[in-house]
Amino acid sequence: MAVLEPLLPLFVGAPLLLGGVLFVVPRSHPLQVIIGFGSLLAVLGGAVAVLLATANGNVLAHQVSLWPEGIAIPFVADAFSALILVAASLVAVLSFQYMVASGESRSPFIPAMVLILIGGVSGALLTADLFNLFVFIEVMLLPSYGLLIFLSKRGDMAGTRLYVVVNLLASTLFLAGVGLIYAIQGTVNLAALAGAGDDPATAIAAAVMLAAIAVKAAVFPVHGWLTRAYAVASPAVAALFSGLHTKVAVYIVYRLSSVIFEGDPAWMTAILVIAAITLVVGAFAALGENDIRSLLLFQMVSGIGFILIGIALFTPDAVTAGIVYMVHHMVVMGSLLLTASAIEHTYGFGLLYRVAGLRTREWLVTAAFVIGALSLVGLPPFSGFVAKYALVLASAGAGQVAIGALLVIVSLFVLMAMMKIWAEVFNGKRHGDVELLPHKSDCARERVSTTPTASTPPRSRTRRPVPSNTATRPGGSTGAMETLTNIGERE
Amino acid sequence: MSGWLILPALILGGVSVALGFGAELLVQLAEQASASVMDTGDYVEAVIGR
Repeated sequence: MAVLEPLLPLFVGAPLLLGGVLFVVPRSHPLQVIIGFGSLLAVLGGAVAVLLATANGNVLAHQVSLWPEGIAIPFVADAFSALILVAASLVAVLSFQYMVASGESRSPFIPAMVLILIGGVSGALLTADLFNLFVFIEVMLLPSYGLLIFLSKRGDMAGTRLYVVVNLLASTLFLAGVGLIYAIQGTVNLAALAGAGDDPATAIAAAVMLAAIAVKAAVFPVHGWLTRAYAVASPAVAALFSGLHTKVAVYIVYRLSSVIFEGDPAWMTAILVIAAITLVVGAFAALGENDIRSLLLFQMVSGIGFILIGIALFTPDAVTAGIVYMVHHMVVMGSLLLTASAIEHTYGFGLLYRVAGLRTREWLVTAAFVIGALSLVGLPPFSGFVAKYALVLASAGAGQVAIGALLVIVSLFVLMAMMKIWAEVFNGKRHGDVELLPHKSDCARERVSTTPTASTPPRSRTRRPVPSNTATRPGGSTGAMETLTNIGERE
Repeated sequence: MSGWLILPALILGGVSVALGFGAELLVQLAEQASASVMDTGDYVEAVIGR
């Protein structure tokens, strides 16, 4: 245990250093991939080691350079932060593997930006200082802007601009909250602020920080940016962000609620109401979507509500269930978004009905989707069942039977959303005659005949210009969606 | 479709199955994590020594 404590800053320092190196080394793609993979696997291995060291209740802490408290940057790892770090780094490793397989990692500086992102995530999870938390959130966001810009879908910058503006405003609000805390308490050390929420002025300052974090977590009513921004991101980036950004924000909500507010019932009730609305809005909104990714993104919003129910009830069982749900959601949303990524990469972006009948020709994709979907719904034997069952039991145990019932009802709507994808993408009739052609990046590229079918929905006959910069997909392949769009418009 | 493209999703799906069958381990870890959230005494002591 004592060996690991001085190594905690390496979770931040090593990825940042290697990310910086990747910016300046010659643009050798294999070298960048090897360094990227090696670093991410090292973070994952280190996170597992920290989890093993903290699984019995130990807390690892280290003041950087052994400076005294108040000057040094404090790094702390307990079972909570270690567990989330393991899940986040696992999602990062697999998202990066997808980027390599799809050719997206060939875009400039992608491996470097992924490393800097995981460095920021590690810092945000491990720091015990509010100002450094703000800094690490910014370290997370800077490469995220780059990833969105370099890998945005069809050159769509509107969603990227929205992401940048919303996160800059939220960061400014968070920094204002940190400043207020410092003005009132004279410290921004989270441990020194334990129980400070009893003071009304400190509570309001902390509430300002929570409001900023709520924006980043995409909680109702400030959730709209996520579905718009992530919808235009590269699918792998959306999967990466789903496992890292929103979950880090939810982790911060848990941490601030417990340390500063110590589960104050008034504040927890406010979080409970917001969480309940978030999970309902996300689940309902998903039903109205006709695009795989958008549908999944609203499920992501709904999942944030599920996770927040745990901290809002603030009983040991509820917090345990919330943490289980958080880990489950990181894994399953990553799986579903990466499945959608593979579909989009092969068949192009687009509406559900455009990609149909995958069940008969893509059994691996079908298997991945079925596992992810059933788990998201909460059926046994998947992790979703454990998470939802624990959450419903904890709700009942906390005397919130209505919340437990709401969780079950919302799960039915999640089931409907998953059935919608299944019915149209996997089990639906194919639109026209799809022929898969060998692709130079070992993916497929489709050519669609213009044979109309009875099930073909009406479309606009207005020809829209396709931006010239959208002809090339990451990895050098031509986007199938453009082909589909043009064919559809010619009809 | 290349198997490499769908491999990450399948691995995460496998993790979901493993967490479902091995739920006891996950719940034990989450209980420990929950304990550190509910009682911040150890956290505070580790950081500032009081």
